[in-house]
Amino acid sequence: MKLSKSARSGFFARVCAAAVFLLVPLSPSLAQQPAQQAEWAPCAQCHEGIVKHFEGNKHSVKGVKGTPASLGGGCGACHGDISDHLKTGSTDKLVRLADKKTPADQRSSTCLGCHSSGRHLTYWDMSKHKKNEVACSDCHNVHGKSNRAEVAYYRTTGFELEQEACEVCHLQVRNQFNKISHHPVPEGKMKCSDCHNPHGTLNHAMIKADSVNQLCLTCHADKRGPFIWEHPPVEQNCLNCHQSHGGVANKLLTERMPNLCEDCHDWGTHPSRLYDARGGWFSPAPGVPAGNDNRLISRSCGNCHSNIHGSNAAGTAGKRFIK
Amino acid sequence: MNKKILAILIAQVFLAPGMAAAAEGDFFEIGGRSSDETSLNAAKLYEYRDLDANGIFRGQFTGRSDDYSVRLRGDNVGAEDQFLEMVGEKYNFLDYRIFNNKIIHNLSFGPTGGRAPWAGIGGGNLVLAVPTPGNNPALWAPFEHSLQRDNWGGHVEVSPDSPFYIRFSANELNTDGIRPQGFRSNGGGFSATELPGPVDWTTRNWSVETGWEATDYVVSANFTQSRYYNNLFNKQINWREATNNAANSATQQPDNVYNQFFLNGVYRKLPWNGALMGKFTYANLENEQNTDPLGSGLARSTPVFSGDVDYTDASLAYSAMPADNLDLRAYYYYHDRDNQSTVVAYGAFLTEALSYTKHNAGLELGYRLSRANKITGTYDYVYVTRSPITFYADETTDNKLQLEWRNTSLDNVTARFKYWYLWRSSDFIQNFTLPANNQEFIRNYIGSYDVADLDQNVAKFTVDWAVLDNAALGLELQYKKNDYDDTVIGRTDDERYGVHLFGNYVFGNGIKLTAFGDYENTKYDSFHRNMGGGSCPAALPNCFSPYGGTLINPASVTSSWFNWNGEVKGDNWGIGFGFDAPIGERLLLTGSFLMEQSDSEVNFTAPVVSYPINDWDDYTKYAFNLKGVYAVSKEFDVTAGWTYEDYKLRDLAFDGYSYVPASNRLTGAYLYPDYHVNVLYATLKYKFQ
Repeated sequence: MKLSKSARSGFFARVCAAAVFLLVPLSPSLAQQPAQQAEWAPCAQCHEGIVKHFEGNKHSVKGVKGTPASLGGGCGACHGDISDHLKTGSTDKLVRLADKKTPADQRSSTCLGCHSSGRHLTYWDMSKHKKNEVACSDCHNVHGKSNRAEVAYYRTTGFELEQEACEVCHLQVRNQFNKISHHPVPEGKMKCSDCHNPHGTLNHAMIKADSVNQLCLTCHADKRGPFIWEHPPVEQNCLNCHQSHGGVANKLLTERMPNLCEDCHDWGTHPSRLYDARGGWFSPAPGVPAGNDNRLISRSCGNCHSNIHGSNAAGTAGKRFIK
Repeated sequence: MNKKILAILIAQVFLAPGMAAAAEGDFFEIGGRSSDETSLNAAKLYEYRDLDANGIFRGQFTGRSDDYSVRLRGDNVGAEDQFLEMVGEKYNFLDYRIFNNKIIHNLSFGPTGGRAPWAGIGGGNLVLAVPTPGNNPALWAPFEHSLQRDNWGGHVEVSPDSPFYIRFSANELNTDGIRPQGFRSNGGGFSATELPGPVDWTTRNWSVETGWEATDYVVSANFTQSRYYNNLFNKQINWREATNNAANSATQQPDNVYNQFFLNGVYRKLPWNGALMGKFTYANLENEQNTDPLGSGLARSTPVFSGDVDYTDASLAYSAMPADNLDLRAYYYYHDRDNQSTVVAYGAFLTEALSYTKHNAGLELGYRLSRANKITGTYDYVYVTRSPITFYADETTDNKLQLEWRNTSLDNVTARFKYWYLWRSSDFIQNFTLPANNQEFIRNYIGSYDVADLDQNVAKFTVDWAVLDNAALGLELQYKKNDYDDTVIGRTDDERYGVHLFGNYVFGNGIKLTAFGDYENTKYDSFHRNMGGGSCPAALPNCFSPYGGTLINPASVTSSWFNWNGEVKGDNWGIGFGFDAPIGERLLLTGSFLMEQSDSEVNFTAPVVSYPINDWDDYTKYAFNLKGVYAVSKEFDVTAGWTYEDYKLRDLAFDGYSYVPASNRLTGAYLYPDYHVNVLYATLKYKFQ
């Protein structure tokens, strides 16, 4: 059944609201927040904040199969033999998951002891993070907040962003997101993991689809086509013209138009031309008139070729993406 | 609708039996915000942020028992950048998630930005307002180039205390608004008409996935369907030219249906502690359209276009450790796009349905020289074949050699150096039987950089230094150079290098300092032939060859014939500094400063006088943030903050802008984006204990 436009609009919103109606009242035993468990009570005497944070996550729930709490080992389930530490304060026998002096594979092995069977780690063996000896605890903070001050443009969100964990290592990517044209990751409207699987995939940049285009078209379905007139570089890789994270040119283009377009297009008429400062709105030098050239001003090539991702117009109007 | 849903959600939280429990991190925050933005067009300021929402409402509430958990989260509730989420779980049996994510994307605000001479803005039929205001933008209607994305969705997964799971997901994304679209006008010559392009799209996705998760192996299968609807009638926009009232029209995005099936898995108990991973995906994309939707009356071979594209992907990878010091990864990826869409002939012009097949294989060997030194070598091979498209590469072969060295000799320092060399060879489909006085002839010399012969050198060096337990430094250097040595016309080389620094320090009294610095330099070189028209002058019989000679018309570059070089250079740098300073037991003061600057230019080398473009995406943006959080009690925090942001763009394409340059008509898209703003905000936060 094809829904009318008015029926489509907000259809899912209504479905979601109905689901919430049903789900919340069907959770009658939610009052029973687990009490502080005896297993980690001794640790809380010195590490109150850490234990409190631990109690806020799933690891502390006895009812979840395989959690440290359900296994009954308390903090020792992850940190090894804690008896000496409790008696003398010695840390010699402790498994310190966040200590970068401990090799990554040793730190990760504690986590993978329980988590390796999950489908989220299907491709961990091929992940760049494993290859580059990134440990689970380098990204997942089981115990609390980071020790960094926030340096970011004003955000309307009040929650921590996943990006903050990634940008510690991916300095160039952090820089790209700070540039003026970017996907809304710093604003908290997208996450790095919307596009990448940090636990590994079978492709080069650990993206979550089989190809770059299939990934981008997940959200940009309007550019999926199929079009009567295709633009071959578009159909092969969006990154031929766009940067995925951010850049200085509008629309996350790798280079400004017309320079970008002229890198591939030359022709007897305007794609061949030298568009210099004479094409702007102002005279570049005394006695030289301003050109107001519509191939340079405003949106440049985009002033006419808006359907650059593909067109369905008949004849050369479609071939040249001008209709 | 949304406000009603919100009210219901909030009421549900507090009325549901037993929802009194909460976890650390749960809170409810309410407050207000005020901004004094000064700009001609504040769209850039509000690009992804709804600063107009004066009320601040956000919170998180978790209920949990030994059997169930549910977490409700709301951020910017009621605003245009709202996020709502409910996640829940019946442990060891079921989990679910429902969400709403709204994204605003503002491009230009009227009246100093978006203006147009038409009535019916926002729809697909634009008629000139009466009396005809064609040449007088003062009479044009203001509007906002702005898109709103509203995404509702969720999933439910059943995994009944066994390795088996099944998961249903669905979401609906509605995108509405107006975006700039420009088309060639019917107003004469090569004039452009920029329109307020209507956007009214719905994308509806659903998927079902099932699998088996065991310690030694994981296998899963997934089916996904994605339907895209362009709700615009006839998928076209019709308008009247502002210069002569002539009718014009252009196509809009067609509906489509995308179906995808994949099967993937891993088996881990293989020799050498190996794991074999694989994935197979088949997808189909289709639609159906009229081959002359705008009614041009052109002769065509078929009235209906059937879009039909198959995608097949297969991947196989093996990872193992044959010896204590040696690890290997071998992989093969196959990607095929088989375009079986209708090929349409419009007289002499034939559409080209691109199909291509890509084979990618590689081997990576890592050898640990010592406890602190590891080297890794990789060979990667990519071979792509494409269906014949004239003047494009039907075959490319990439070979890449990569070496990587990782050193951890110093306990607190990890250094990594990576270098690769990639060489690509291409076979272009050329047609040198054409005479050099045919303007198609020039295309024999164009090397589209995405497929052109290439020598690529890339080097990257990173250092992570945990100076002390409470201090860390990071450094990243990159260099990348692409040489398109065999390209005659087009991009001949590009180069990029960057330096990125990051550091943080925590004092014993809890004060945290964080700083970063970035510098990037880019350069694109290209070679072109300026051609003065569609036919050769008598003095240049081979004018469409780059070796066809020079003929300068002193009156006009556009009617001259010569070769020229372009060089686009860009400098971009940014710095940031921030602190968190606890003052006494109750007050936390945080502050930061950020600055970002871009400076680009285009230089030309030509046998005619040329004028470099000095202001090309030149911008400066900086911001100050200061915030104080005072803990009134264990439960209550009061927060007050101030932000100042300033953004200035200098760009030749917009400085001196006019809506009516000659017979072109523009709408003011991206015009006057400069702004500065003070944002003051205060909130009261209740933290559940």
